[in-house]
Amino acid sequence: MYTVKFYKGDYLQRQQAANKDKAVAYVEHHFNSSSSEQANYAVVVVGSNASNTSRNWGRWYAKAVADQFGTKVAGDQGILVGGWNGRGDGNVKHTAMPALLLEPLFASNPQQAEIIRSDSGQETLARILAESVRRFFPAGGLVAFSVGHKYKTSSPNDRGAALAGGGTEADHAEKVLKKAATMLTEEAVAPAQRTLRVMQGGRLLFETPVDEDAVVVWSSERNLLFIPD
Amino acid sequence: MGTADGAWRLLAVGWRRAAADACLALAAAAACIVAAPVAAAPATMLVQVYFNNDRLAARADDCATVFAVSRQLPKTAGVATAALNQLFAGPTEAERAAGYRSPFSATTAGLLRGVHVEHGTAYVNLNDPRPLLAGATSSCGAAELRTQLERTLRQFPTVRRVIFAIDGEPRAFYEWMGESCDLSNDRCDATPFRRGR
Repeated sequence: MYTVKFYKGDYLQRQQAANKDKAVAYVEHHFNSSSSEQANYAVVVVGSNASNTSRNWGRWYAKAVADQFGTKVAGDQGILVGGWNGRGDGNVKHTAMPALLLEPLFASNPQQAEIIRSDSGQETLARILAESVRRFFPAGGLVAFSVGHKYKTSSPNDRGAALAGGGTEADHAEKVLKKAATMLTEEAVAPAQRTLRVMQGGRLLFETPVDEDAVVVWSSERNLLFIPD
Repeated sequence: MGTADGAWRLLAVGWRRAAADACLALAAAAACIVAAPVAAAPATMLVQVYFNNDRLAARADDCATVFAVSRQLPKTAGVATAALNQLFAGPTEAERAAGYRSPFSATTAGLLRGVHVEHGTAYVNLNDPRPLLAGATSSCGAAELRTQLERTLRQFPTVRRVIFAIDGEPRAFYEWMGESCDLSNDRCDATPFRRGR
């Protein structure tokens, strides 16, 4: 139902190529960075010309990441429209389809860098991304992936920010995108029905369908997740 | 005078030079009236440099809020050059202990290639910062970098906007930052940087 293609070259060329291929969605993956080791929010850049689909998709993704990792969202409910003072706008605004520039975690934050480096952290980020694509583009189609910084013709050695403790932003963004591509193209399509899932990091432990209007309640006294009658 | 501040040069006439220099350096702190010749030029001047500080910011996730610290420097005509060199060296140990932070540090102290001011625009020419400031193109990193730079330069009333270049090429800077070459940066026109050499 989904096909995924990785686009390379300078950012404008990637977007133009995705337009030509008639991709249904475009995702460029980065990580954020700060001179503060404590910075820890999730944010998504959408173009200054972003559609409502892009904005809602970006907000959903940022909130899902923040909920997963116990952080918060920045910007306008998780999105920066047009980036910060235009920074990042050119990475996505030339697309003809909904497009996001992801900054889910901070490479400069030592705890978050550990998550970024870990296989389970990458799995978790990939799953959130794949779920977001399935939710906002249920009809399937070609999904365009772009690894931030890497494979640019104009600066082939760029790898973005250094991860606290070792590694680079771009190399780990690429790992997340590759995992998300596998999930989108090889896993069975999630049922349209609402499902309740129990996960450990990025690993699915338990899954069951629930009614659309079911209220799920966690009882800390009983260590029980239940649906009241 | 490749790195001299153009706007300052407009003021540099006789005794007014020393007085106006002091005014420029102190512009952010106090009103200054040049009414009479100054007998002896001051040996030092004050400039402000701007850094982030999570202890002072209302919101910790606001990467674009910066705070001034004062630096007393030997008096010079090139106040913008002096201020940027202070900024690029990053916060002092005492300032870091007080919560000030910056992408700039001792490793970036030599970033400035030159700065000059023409008609209200400061043209900042950098030695290649890309290997030293790899995180500066993220949304937070860019906000920190650009706000610190622009606020430090805009303390001088003669500076109304700032355009950057790497090794004289504005296109290289704005491509690095993921920004378009548009009216806000004079479409990456490199001519003023050649004039400033």
